[in-house]
Amino acid sequence: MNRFEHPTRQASIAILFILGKLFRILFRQLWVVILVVMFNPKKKVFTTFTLGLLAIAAIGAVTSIISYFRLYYYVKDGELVLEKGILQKKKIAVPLDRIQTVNFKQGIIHQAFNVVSIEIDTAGSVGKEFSLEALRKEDAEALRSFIENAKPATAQTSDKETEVHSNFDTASPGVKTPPKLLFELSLLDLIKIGVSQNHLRTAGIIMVFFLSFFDELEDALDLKLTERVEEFFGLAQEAEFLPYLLIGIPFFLTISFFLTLFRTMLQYFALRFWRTGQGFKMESGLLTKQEVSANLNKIQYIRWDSSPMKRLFKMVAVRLPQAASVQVSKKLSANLPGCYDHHLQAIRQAYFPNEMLLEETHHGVNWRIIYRMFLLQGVLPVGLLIVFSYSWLATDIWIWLLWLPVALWLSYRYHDNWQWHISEEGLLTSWGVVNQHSILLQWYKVQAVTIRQHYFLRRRGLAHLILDTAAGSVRIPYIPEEKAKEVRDFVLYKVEVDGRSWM
Amino acid sequence: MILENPQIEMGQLPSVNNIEFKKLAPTYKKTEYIGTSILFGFLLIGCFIAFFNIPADYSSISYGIFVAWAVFFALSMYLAGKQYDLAGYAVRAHDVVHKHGVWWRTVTTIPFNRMQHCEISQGPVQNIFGLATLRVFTAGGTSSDLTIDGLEHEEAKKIKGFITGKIGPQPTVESPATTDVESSPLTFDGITEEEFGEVRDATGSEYPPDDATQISPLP
Repeated sequence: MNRFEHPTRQASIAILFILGKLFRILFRQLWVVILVVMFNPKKKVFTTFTLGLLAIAAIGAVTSIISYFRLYYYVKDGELVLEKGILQKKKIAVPLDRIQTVNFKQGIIHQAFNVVSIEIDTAGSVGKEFSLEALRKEDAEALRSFIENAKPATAQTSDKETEVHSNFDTASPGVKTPPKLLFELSLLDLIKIGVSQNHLRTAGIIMVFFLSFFDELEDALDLKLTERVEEFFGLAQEAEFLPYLLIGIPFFLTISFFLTLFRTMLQYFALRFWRTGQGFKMESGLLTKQEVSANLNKIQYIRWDSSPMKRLFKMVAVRLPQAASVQVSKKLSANLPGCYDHHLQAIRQAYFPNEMLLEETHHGVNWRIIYRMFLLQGVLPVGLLIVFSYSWLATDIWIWLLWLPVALWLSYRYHDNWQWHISEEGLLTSWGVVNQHSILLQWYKVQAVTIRQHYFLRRRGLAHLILDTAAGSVRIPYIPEEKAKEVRDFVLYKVEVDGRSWM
Repeated sequence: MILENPQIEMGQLPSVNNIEFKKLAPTYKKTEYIGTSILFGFLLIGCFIAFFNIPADYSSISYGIFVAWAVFFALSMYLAGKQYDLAGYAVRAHDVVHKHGVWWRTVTTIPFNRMQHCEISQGPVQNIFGLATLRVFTAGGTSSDLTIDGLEHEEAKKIKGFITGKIGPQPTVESPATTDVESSPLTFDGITEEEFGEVRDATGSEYPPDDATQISPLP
């Protein structure tokens, strides 16, 4: 029974979201202009400028409303069809079996009206992925189960899929396996994750944001803020900013610490991670609830990372990069901000069922990588810092040299920690000293193999090996050229004789 | 030893090392030289302008400009030639191999069963010299795409036809190791395997015999 065969509009509340989206975009582009108009020093309210602004907003609003009434979706002949367009009618049709994932997102307003926004990802075909602003929740759920149930019946590719799935799923096609809850994160876990996130990055983002914000604001309103601040602090006398720096940096870090904690809690509140027949499903969020699913045959490799703080809590952050066009992959990637080791083991087991059964050999990288790391982490930054501090402060700050032994130690550790293990079916790499990273890859996911050498590497008979997948590449640096070639030939052989669909 | 319990001996695998790379079109070398010369021609004009604008007391520097120009010109011409000498490609029964680069030497291999599509493009200069660029696309992002610049147009068309045919009928549902190469005859766009060029056995390996064959598109 196809209840979606007739062209249907979205829930009427969608108009609200479409308008909201429009005004957000307008505001983001024009906020400087709007500020100027609002705080216009001349107090002339209805200048042509203001009128023009209002006209743009009005036209945008009208076209948005029309576009709502012109947008229909329906399912016909095994295809999900989206019709839209105001002057020119545009029709997007996606075969149901090409639909990889149907993701829901529910903001606070969505929750109030019991609607969800829906994002449909197709098998990596650019321009064919589409989203709907608001569907009634039961409609959305019915549509998703309709798509999922239609799959085995219509799909020509079901053989391939079952071949892949049969390794870890005994379910025959058509029989839906009920999702199994792998784990959920408690409030304590969330706090641990929030505490161990990368706060420096947040600090950087805040800094960049405020700097650009103040710059634009100053220009727009002609505030001369910087000058006033400088006057106030007497910054004209140089080299006295050190105390401010000493107060400012901890202050800044504290703010970014709480901001990251807060953001993490909001985004990953009540995170639940499911194992479904197709792959994984993740639900989370306090204000904006989101539901992201990842299909096993679209997941290219598994990557997990840990900072020292995360290791203290015995946690890792896991990423499941999926094959998709670049814009989609960012939006849809199922990223776990943190989980415990046995959770990771469950994910690894699902992605690569035979991993633990296969014999593997262990390899490291050449010691000459120490030179490179020491140059990049030690000599180069120290040199730059000395040059900069000399030219800005006109004093020799040789204290930077103290970094060199630390950098040398880090470089040694980097070499020791770089490990790769290969087996008949796949590769496990791990590297990093402070932040540690690992990647688990199955050979048949590889799309291209590249060997790169620059002049110095070639002289030493070394090479980088790069294994490209549909979701980024896995690199092994500084290994003997012969070994790299041996692995390349082996991987190519494995890929070329493998009939499984890799995405 | 890379694997302790190999299903097949590593030595028997078809190796990319043993293949003979085909060189790019000789005219490509010519266009590279011409392009470099034109660029440095413009730079020479710039040098003259600078020369007549530098005050007389700095005459030693002003002659230095021409010395620098000559050095960089020679270097660029040398690198252009070297780049041509080192670049090459090979179309094998199951993949395409491309090598390029002087300072960074790169060898990329993409199997046919991981290619999405391929296309030929021709700029105005390439059109004059009968050259073309072949691009092979893989799924997701651009990190693993392959671009072969400086092919003869006819050759590029042949390779494209061959690849397109290879990408189309894939024996993908068959289980590994039984993949039958014979079942997908190598005739596409009216070009048979024989016409495509001699078939060499690159490794003399026994497993699987067709994996090791290299097809050279032009005799």
